[in-house]
Amino acid sequence: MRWKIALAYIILTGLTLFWILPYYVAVATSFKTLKEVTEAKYLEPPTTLCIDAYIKALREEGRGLLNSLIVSLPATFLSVLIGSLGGYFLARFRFRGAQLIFFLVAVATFIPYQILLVPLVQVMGALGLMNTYAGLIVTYTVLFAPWAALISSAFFMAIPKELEEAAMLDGAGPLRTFFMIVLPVAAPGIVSTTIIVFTSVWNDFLFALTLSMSPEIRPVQPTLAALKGSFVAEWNTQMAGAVLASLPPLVIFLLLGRYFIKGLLAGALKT
Amino acid sequence: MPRKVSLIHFLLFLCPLLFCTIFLYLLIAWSVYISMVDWRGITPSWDFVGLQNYAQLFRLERFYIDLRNNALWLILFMVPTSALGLILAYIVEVTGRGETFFRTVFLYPAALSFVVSGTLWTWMYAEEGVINTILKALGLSFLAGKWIADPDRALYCLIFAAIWQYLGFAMVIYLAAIKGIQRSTIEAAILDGATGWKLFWYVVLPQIKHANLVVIPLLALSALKIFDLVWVMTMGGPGYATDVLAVFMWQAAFAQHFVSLGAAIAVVLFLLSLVVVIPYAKMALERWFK
Repeated sequence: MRWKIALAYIILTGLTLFWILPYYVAVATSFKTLKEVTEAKYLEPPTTLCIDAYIKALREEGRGLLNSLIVSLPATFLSVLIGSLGGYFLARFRFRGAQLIFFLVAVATFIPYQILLVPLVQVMGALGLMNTYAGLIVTYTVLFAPWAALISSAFFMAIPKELEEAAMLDGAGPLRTFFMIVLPVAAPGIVSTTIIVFTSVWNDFLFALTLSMSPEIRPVQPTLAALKGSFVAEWNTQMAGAVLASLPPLVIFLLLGRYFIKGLLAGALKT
Repeated sequence: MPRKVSLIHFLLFLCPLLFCTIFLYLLIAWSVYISMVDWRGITPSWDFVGLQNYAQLFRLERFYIDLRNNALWLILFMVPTSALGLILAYIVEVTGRGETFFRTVFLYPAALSFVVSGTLWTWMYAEEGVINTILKALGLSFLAGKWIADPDRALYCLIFAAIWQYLGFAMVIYLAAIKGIQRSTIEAAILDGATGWKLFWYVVLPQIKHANLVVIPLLALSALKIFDLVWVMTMGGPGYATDVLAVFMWQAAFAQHFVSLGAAIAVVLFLLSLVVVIPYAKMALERWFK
């Protein structure tokens, strides 16, 4: 048994090193000068912390990062608000059509989004929302509110009903009960939902690519893709760009990993 | 709690969500309609042509290359990711220590976008890049190659990057399932003399079936939807070596302005996904309303 445990640890260590490798090399490369990169000692840490690559990447990508922030924050807020209201209702009330609504919401969450693209471009064009923040915010809200409903309702189901019943007996209306009693108790679940939705919006490429054309509006993911295309041989700049674009979700993941995982599990409808 | 659902509650809580959902379905229906008109070029054209776009699509060689690539992707991505994810979850659970650490290590790629991971892996696979350099340092230079620039290897390289990104997701779901097994079940099995593989095969595996029913469909869907990674790393190249339906759809609809053809590809992709999505949603529904 002892050697089996040892073997398990060897496998784990090997896989661990390999799984960290791409990001480690990216960070190491991003702090190197281009000359140092060409020396091909990729596994070695940089000799000096050179931030030239970051300055260059920020010049290209800074606006994209800002745009992503401007789009992600309201889109996440709206998705979670709409999603948790609906998710609460689906989790708490049994009414005719509830199953159908749940089914339609679940299907809409998992389909390939390609099926939405062409009409969406038409609608956004007709509303004058192509290449605007508003267009992206509306798109992400509509897209992720159903998913936020599924994730959050998994958490609402875990809350004891007695709590709300007491509040209702005291004369509080349903909206008041929801915001004052239910939401605070479900706060950890709402945090999970928010993290998953924010990460999805921030990391989206498909809609960002399709609905934004100018650098003034374009979010960070398509901006990084463009940077990758125009600095082909400058690996340090590319890696700095990738690290910058990954930071917000990655930091959230590292700080709030447990919420992230709970959100993932709920999002997979594994309840 | 009111026993009956009043209309006002319904409107307050559910209406915004319903609005979003209905909007999505209207877009789907509209896509299906567009796939049956003859819209090619910048300005829309609404002459109904029935299934002609599909007939045209089924005559294109690229369509079959993409179907094959998507199918390869499905199998070569889904099987290793779920198997390795399960094994990893089991090892982490059995060794018992450092669970948070390993979870972080294997799950962090799930927090990255495909554009970021595509950028990272392009560097790994570059001719003067990380993997070739490591191979040469280990004296294995005969294994070095052009990776994603090599039409024979490119698709597998991309699939590997996707495995790297999704392994933690599979692991976390299996880990949750393994933790859900009753302690007493395992202890009883151990008392009966089950050890190692036997314990895994006869006791753990049957108990985590429901996790398979979550992991495998979701991985299959990601394989079907795959777009960003291909776009960023190879654009479907070299040639059509890594081309997939989602990339074909975007290029047809938005770069070449064969809009109806693009919509037809999207519909095909959508129908293929329904094979997985509908049973999956039904399953979730049953768990939900049991």
